[in-house]
Amino acid sequence: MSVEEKKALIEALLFIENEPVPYGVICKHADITKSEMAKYMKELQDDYEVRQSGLLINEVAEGYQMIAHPRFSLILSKIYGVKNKSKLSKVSLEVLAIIAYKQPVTRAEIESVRGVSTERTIKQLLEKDLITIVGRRETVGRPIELGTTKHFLKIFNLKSVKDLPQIREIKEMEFNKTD
Amino acid sequence: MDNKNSYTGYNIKTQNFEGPLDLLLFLVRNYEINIYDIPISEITDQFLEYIGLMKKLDIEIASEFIVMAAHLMLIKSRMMLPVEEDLEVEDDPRVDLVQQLLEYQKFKEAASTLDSSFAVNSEVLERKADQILLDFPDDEDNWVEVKIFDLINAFSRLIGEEGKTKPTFSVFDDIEEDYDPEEKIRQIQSVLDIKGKVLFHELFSFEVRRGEIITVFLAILHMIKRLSIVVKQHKMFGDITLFPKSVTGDKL
Repeated sequence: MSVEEKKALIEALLFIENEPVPYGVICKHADITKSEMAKYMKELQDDYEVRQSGLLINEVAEGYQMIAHPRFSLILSKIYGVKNKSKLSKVSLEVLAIIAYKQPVTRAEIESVRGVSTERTIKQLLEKDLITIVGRRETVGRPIELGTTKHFLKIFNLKSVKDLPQIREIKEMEFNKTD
Repeated sequence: MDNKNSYTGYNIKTQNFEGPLDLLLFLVRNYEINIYDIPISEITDQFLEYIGLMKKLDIEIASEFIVMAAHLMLIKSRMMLPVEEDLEVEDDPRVDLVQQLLEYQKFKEAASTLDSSFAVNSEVLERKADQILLDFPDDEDNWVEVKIFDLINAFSRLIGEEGKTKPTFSVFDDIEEDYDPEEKIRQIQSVLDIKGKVLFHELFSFEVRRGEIITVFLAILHMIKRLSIVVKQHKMFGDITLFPKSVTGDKL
């Protein structure tokens, strides 16, 4: 299969699937390496860009997904009556942030950061499939370790956990307002 | 603690704080205090004042606030102890608290950053999911591991159905029955040994009594915990299936 054919095949694959297609699946079916995949994807994305396509290939949740171009999101949501995606509460976001940045993390560690019990919030996040049990810590009591899911990456439009925005280190200055 | 007299007319907003650290951070920021040199005495008073306010407004005070108040007072009293000059610089009793506040502050910011990526995502419109896809082959890729919540859902559906189809449940059914998950585990294991896999709902098809159904479910949970089985589901065909753990590596 020529390179162009492979690119076309990937395009077809992304068209068929509505969920993000994992890197591994793309590589396997197109018989390419991961770096080749990255290159082809970039080319496809550029093609779309150049001809102002209504579609966009988005890298998200350790895969690629073909979506409608965001410039049409307003019109499209009117046509389809897309509901606003339900927002997460402040507490949920806080707990989720701690888990995302510190994973794998135990409940005790989360609570020591927040200073409050978080059992209920953790349960809610588990139910929403934003976090999952990733293992057990080999310490006393073998507490459960939590981490984020692919669904989390998708919801927050992240390529991978490494893609999380850097936490701004709090500078001393900000607190020294009186100085 | 003479709180009533120390009321200085601060107008503390009665916003809901997520916890004692949230409140402390608010106080530090609001009164423009240098976080590395928190005037513990003042902060403690303000903290207690807030708790007093919560009491007045009849807001339930979480125990964590009380713990923090006690902690603040401990630090305060430590700081009042005279420090001998010739000793090496004693650890500032506030250090841990400051570290904790900074850490908390960091994740509060991270949370709001996450919130903004959430906003970006609301512009992502994906294809509708209800189209009929191609016939998926019985490949490894198409089998996904079933989450414990899915399993619980399936179980509660099962219990629900069973209640409907056999409404003539007798209360005496379950009396003096001996339910042994271990026995069920052995049974399931032997089925798996012979057939290599078994459907989730099949396991319940012979069970009549509620107690037995629960026992089977317990047995399944035990087996998952012991890592002797994996529970998977085909993307397209939906039946929850149990596989022995050893086989899954190569066969599935």
